[in-house]
Amino acid sequence: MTKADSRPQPDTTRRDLLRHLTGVVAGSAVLAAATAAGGAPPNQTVIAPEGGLDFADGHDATAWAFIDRNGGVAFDGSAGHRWAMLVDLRKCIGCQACTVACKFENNVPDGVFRTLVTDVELARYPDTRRGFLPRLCNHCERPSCVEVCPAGATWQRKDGAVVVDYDRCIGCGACVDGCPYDARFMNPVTATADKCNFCAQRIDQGLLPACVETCVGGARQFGDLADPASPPARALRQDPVQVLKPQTGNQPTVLYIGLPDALQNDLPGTPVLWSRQRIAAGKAATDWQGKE
Amino acid sequence: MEPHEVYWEYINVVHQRPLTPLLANYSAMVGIAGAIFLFWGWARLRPVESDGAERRFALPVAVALMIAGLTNPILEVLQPGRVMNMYLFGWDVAGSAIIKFGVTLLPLFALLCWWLGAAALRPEIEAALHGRPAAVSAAGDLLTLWVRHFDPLAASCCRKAIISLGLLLAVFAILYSGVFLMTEHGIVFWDSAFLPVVFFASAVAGGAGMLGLIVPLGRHLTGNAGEETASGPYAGLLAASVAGGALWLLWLQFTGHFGSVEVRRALDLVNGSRRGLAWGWWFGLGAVLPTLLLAVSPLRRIALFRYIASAGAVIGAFALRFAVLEIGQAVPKSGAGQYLYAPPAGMLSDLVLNWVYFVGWIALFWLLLPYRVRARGAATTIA
Repeated sequence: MTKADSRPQPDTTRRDLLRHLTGVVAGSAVLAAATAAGGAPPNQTVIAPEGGLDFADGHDATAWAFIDRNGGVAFDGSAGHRWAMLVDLRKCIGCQACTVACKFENNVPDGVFRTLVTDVELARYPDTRRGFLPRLCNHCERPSCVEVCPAGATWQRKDGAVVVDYDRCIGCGACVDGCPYDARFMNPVTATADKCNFCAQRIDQGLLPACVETCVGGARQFGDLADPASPPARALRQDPVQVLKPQTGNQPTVLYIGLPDALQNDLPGTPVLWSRQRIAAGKAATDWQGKE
Repeated sequence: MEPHEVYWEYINVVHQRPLTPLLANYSAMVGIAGAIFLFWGWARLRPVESDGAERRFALPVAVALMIAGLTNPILEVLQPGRVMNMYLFGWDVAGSAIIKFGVTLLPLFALLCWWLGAAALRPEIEAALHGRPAAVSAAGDLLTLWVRHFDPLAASCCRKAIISLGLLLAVFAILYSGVFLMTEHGIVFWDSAFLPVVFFASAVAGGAGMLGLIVPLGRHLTGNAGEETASGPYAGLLAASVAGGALWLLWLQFTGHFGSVEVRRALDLVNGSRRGLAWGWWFGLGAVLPTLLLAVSPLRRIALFRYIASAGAVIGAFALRFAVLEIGQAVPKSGAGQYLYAPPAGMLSDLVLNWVYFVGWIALFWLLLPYRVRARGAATTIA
């Protein structure tokens, strides 16, 4: 045996590797071509924003392709499911990654938010602590926004997601004032009502909402309340789960763990235009310049 | 934590609220139109003869108010081209969406006002169209909804039914915007049964005030100044002003005791930076001043004071709605802070133009309708 022969021989030669790689690439191409030829599964639309990267034209093109009232999965949702989100505030670090992910996913314009993490200081010095409150549409069981819409432009799907048809909305704003959570807003680009739709365009294809996907601490979890193994259903059984403003009777399906009392109902601050505190502090009613 | 404890928000967003002063304008105009019909219809149902000038002048004013009022939501919605969607879609959830009923019943009410208003002028219309070319007569009939051929006020079979239907629609028109705001679940200050009731009282006062201004003016402009002695709707104005003011105080008292933190923030605005609007323009000018001027007998006898009381009630009806709208929306739903409300660009000019528009419609009606014919011809008032 020569010295060279004594070296360990690889299991796969370079030629074998190239041949395998070629096979994988060719197989992938064939699969992709077959998928394209067969089209999307029934009731699903391949996401293809027609507006390209232009902001105004491309705004919410993904959701637009799905959310209309022409029937199918976009209208009905997935029957048998009841989507819910679990927000574990013990894990939220206020990084706003979810805010950014939502902006990217849904092309939400500047100055308005489908989701946001409110960052507040709770209690008084020296006992102060930071509190983070991720906020989004609560996809209520009894959505008060749907009840006041005169144009049938917003509705609750069978899977519980409350969605908006931007082509039908007349922009009257009734739903914006009808929501107790400030989750709705008037979109300055589309001139219609807008809000979180649980990333319906994603969940209809088996994906997670963008905010859940990107949450670095795992504070946001998404699942089906009808599935006992899903994080929200499990939390309902095991943890002290709370919702925002339970007195409204809207029955939200965005569930919170570790929600401080101060954040659950009416947020406690009073930097109002006129208040006893401001009078006591010697501040005139007219020098108020927004939030403090 | 105490509800009024100061705390800090490092990051928060409060979305802009969508409803503008145009909604207050709309609410006031439609409410006043409904109240005008209440006075008119009630007088027609009573066996005794009432003010003939009110009978003939009132309903065209209500129609002008309805037309001008209904332009406000069209100006306000961001997609006015899709307003038709309200007629076509959304009936599956129309149970509490009162807009669905408003878009149908309010135009119907305006049409009924026009029909009955023309019927109240039937003798004059007949005289004006008599002997005219066929085309002019046909156009006149179309414009007056054929009251020459079927007079709903003279038909014994259905007179009371038609007026009663009108009264129901009038009550709906008055209550409509108040109920709409009350069902806006997200604004806790509005989420009170007091709101439509206070709106109702102020609209009735505003309607009486509008009649107190328009009827003498119309009588003067059409040369019928000496025709009849008007007692005017001042008793109704007085009662509605007292009721409106009392209900307003009761509402604030009740909500101050039982309301949540959001409501108490709203009350801070009522008694704070918006006190001029809420207490001055609405309560002072719209409720207290008419009460004083009309309850004190020597003051009531002076025509100028009656007109001031009437104008105060009309302005107060608008101010109440503006105050409630602005204060309700100024309280954020997701944290501390208040808005410094600034109407969108052009909104104030829209408001002023809308009232000019209303005056223009009255002028058009008074030009079109034959108010003067009867003064030249028959001298008797036809009930």
